[in-house]
Amino acid sequence: MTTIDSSPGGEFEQHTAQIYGWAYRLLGRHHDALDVVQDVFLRWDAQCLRETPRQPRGWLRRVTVNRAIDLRRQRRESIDPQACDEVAGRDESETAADQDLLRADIALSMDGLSSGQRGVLIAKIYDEMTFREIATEMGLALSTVKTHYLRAIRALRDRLEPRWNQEKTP
Amino acid sequence: MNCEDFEMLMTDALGDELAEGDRAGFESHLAACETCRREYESLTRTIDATRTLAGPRRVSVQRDGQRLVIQPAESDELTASHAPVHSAVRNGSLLRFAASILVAFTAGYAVHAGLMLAGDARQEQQITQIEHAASPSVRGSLALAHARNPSRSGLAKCLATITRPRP
Repeated sequence: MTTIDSSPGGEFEQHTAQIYGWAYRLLGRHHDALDVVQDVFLRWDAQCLRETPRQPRGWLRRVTVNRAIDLRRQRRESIDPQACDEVAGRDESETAADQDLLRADIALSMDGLSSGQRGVLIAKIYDEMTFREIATEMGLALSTVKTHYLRAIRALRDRLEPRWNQEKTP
Repeated sequence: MNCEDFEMLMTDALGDELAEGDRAGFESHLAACETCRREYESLTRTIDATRTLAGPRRVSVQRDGQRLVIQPAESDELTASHAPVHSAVRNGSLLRFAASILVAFTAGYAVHAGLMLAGDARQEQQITQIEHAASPSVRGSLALAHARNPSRSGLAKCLATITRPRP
């Protein structure tokens, strides 16, 4: 990353790599992640015409995650819940397909979460922020952040656990 | 310690933020209560699984004049579907790649020319800030819309109305 200026466009540039990373983890494809970066940029620019967000990274994370989940839903990836269960029943070693299944499960779980819960989950697990840092960035009470985190993890667990139980069954 | 108190500490533990002073009580309840232990183990396993989700090892974001160019670093985690643009050339998509470059150049030129005529350098910086060869359609749309209405309000409308669900 080279010169960073202080304009709203420069603010976006500071976070471009992170935006790409958040999108890539949920989508798993370079060009899909780039599409999300592009969409987020357009939304960022439209937002800055009205009011620049006070917490840019938090705003960008929330919009990126929402957009990535929307894109996944629109693309109707070949992995659907039925297919997931069929593949999980086989004894397969960790492959790119397994990663895609995991991404699909995570994206499906996030679909049922609130925007705040999604943001806290991504910030905690992938950005490795403390609860207090997340609370400051998102403008939430510390207890709310912790509650969001626990609920999000439980939603993911409820999605993943049936597959683990199926893998255990001979 | 009861299970309700344990749950509060469990969230801290799951976030790797359990205070040292709480550790003894936490571990004691964990050893004594099978329900809480199973809950904690399944949630820990969930977090571990989520963390294994591969992200891009490296991504470079480079400014090229008014553009940002995003490229993943070469990695053995990349599959054919993740290959950088130059792989499309090797895979025999030379004509499509050349066409997308031509459209991108034309769109970029039209946008630059229109915005310079409108006399707003900031608009130019914003509108051309992100480009990559694989998706010229958005830039093409912006160029056409701006050509129809080069005013500032027209540009704002372009930005607000472009939604592009891909097939």
